[in-house]
Amino acid sequence: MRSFSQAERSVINALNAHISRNEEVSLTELAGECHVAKSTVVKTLQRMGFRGYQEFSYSFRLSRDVQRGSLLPRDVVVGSGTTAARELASVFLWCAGRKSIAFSDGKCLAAPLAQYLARKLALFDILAPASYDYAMVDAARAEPGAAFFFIHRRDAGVGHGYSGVGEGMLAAVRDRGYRTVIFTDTDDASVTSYADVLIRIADNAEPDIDLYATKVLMVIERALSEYARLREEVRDGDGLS
Amino acid sequence: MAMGSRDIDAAVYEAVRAAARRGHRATVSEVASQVGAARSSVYRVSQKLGYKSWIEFTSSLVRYHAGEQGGDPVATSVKAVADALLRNRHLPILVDAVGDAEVCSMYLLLRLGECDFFPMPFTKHIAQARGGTAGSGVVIVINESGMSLLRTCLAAREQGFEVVSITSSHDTPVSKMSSINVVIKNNKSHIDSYEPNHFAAGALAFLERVLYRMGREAPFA
Repeated sequence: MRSFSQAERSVINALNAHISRNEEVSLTELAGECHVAKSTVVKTLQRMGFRGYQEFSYSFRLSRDVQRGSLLPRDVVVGSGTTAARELASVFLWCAGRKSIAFSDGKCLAAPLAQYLARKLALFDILAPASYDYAMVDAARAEPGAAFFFIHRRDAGVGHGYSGVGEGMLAAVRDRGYRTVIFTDTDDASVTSYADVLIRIADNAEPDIDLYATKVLMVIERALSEYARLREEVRDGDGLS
Repeated sequence: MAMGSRDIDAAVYEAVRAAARRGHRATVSEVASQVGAARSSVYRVSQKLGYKSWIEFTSSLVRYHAGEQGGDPVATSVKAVADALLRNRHLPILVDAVGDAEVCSMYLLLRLGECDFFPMPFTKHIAQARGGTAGSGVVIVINESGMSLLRTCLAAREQGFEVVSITSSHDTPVSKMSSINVVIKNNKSHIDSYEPNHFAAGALAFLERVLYRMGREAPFA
């Protein structure tokens, strides 16, 4: 399949410039702007998979504003969402200047969730790399912060117990003085008993639609918002003292 | 007897509204032919009514009547994406995402693999190796801004992939390069006064609904 020609690329670039400025542009205007025939514009769009200019203009007919209200679950955690967010935010505050870990073991959901948390915390200058390495929890050079675990009921029975836990990792981080935060939708005491902070994710309203990961992200986002507020309060307090 | 200007305006509006109720965006030519007026007169009605263009006029009415009929935009989008994936069930599904949405990419690679699809991360070289003909498969692009992954869309189109995107607005380059674009609201804020941004969470919830729908229509192995 051949690449786009110079003329086709100029049409695409001009289209993108208009789109990024939220401008609608007619076929005639676009052809004039790019110094090409209208047929060149149409052929370019056809090469991109559209039947013509009109179909291109309407290509967002399926793009509807998917309202958060109807897409995101209402019940995110068991108990108060505000309390869970504040509790997690206070852990983030504890983590500032310490070394934390987002535990990414397991081939299921723990890895993407740990990476999400690690990336977001890094935006707030909190070091909590996503890792499954035991050497990570050796806090010889830095004060131990928190260890975050993502334990999904769906993964029960994968490998040793729950995927995402890791053999002995829960015990290891506790022994080394980390605060253990567990995001889980299970009540299994073999998991929950390790938690200093237990974020108990609510069960799915529709059993066949698994929103565990969605809910974890929602808790994290809300806690980050709380943390930003807390951090400002602490800074203001420092400034006053 | 020739119609007056107000008669034409009313007839044009009525014709566009009738089409919109059927979910159809009427073209200037269709309406001109239907009401027996010049195309330029028909087009001017959209401006008289305060719209920037004919497209904006007809699109607004179609959206309005879609809501009136109780159409569920989530269900419509879920069906569109599920259908696209099922059409390409035995072809490569390449996934690309950036920023917060990276979590969706990793998640989708895991979940689609479990559901008997052939998901792979998108790279230009994988697209070249797996594409090259029309109907090469699907590229799913999840990009909050709808700007950063434009190159992915262009490369995907060049290699004959259908592009399905999730963005926070339909007025973005990525959206316009997609055959299906799903819009999920975001909430950008400054880090010092951070507000929850549920774009990635919304995208995950949406994708789970797509997986559920596909499983219902064509049960996974």
